Amino acid sequence: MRALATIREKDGAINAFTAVLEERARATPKKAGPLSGVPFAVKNLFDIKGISTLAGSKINKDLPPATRDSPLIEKLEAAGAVLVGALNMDEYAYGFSTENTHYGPTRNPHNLAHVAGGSSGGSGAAVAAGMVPLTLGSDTNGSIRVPASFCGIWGLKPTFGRLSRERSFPFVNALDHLGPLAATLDMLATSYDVMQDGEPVAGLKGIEGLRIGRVTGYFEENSEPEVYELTKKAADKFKAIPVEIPEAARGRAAAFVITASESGQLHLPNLRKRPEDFEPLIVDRLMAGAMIPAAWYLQAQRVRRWYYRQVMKLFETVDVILAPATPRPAQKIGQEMFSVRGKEMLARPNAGLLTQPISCIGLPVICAPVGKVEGLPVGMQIIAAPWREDNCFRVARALA
Amino acid sequence: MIEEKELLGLSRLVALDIPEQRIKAVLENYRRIQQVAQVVNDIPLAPEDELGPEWRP
Repeated sequence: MRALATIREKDGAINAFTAVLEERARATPKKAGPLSGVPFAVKNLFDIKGISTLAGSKINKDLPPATRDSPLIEKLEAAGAVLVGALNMDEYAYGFSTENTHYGPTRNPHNLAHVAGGSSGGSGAAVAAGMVPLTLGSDTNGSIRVPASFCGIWGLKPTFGRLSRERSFPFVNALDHLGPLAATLDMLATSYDVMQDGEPVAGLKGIEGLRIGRVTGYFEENSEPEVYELTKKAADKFKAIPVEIPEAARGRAAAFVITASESGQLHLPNLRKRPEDFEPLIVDRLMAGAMIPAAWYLQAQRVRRWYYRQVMKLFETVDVILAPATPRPAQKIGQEMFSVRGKEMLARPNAGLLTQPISCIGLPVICAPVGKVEGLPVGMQIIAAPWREDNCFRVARALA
Repeated sequence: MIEEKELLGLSRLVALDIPEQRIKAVLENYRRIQQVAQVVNDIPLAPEDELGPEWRP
């Protein structure tokens, strides 16, 4: 299998894989189907029969091996795809850079000194480096879209609840989504169709009748001018009208509180027992999150609903919204700060500035590659109303 | 903003023993969350924003 040789040749420099399943891949019988013979790999928070589900951690190495594959792996394999490995990520998906202290940073194939994004960084880099054409990732606050943007590939975060999360390691139950990252839009659509139960999207084209908007306000203020310009240029092709997503900053704030609280609670037993085994980059955040009062968490959930109602009103006037995916291209590995429109901010948490307000309310989004800034790729979010992935794919097709 | 003494009180409530060398960083993180939570807590809500059993985004 060619993918295995490519992984052997390239992954030493990239560090996208935490396990290469050579034996399993070679033993997989060739099967007819829409993904016949397509090699794929998954973020290591998906259960893979026979290996422990690391979720980027050292602690989970002690878990017994999974007894069954995740249902999304089963669906891809039933369509003929061949699983070749598990991929690096930020520990417990809490990050946007895949600078994993236990397993090493995943490097951006476009420039090895830069991060691949996260938390599905291995999923982004494996595709961008040409090791596999298809991977699976998870997205709680932007973890599919940030690596897709930084690596210059396609990514889909479907509507909240669209794809099964069974047999995957959780991060934030209220916000977790799973989805594909791919080298081409065709691969993204075909793999999504194989995993979903709704109307197929592969082959959809034509944007007649679609009302398309381009975001201003929060998304413009929080992206570098060159990055925003690429989205604007793409949006101009569709004669998109300027729109503002109301209360995006406060929606993001609600997602931040929910994320801190749920993840802290999830890991509290191990924070008590073995704090020294956590990723140093996240352990303090997890500890702080574990002590959040219930009143703050519940208010954040109510605000999420409040924000959702306002954004739904916007979908009465447009069907699709275009927005930059990341404020800037990928920062360097180890870089603590970056600046956006002259404003200095922490690099790691703020790579998700533009994705978090969208996943907070579960909207479907495709991240499409739209160009390069400073020699590194950046992506654009194609956002639709809940359950309207078809509209995302129509617009993506017109761009591809 | 929360003080170290209050943070340690909270940590006792959840039976979390914060290692000495982490207290400063945990406090910084908690203050950041507190700041963001304040923004969220200040939003006036209507009855329709109450969480219903059926609601999900």
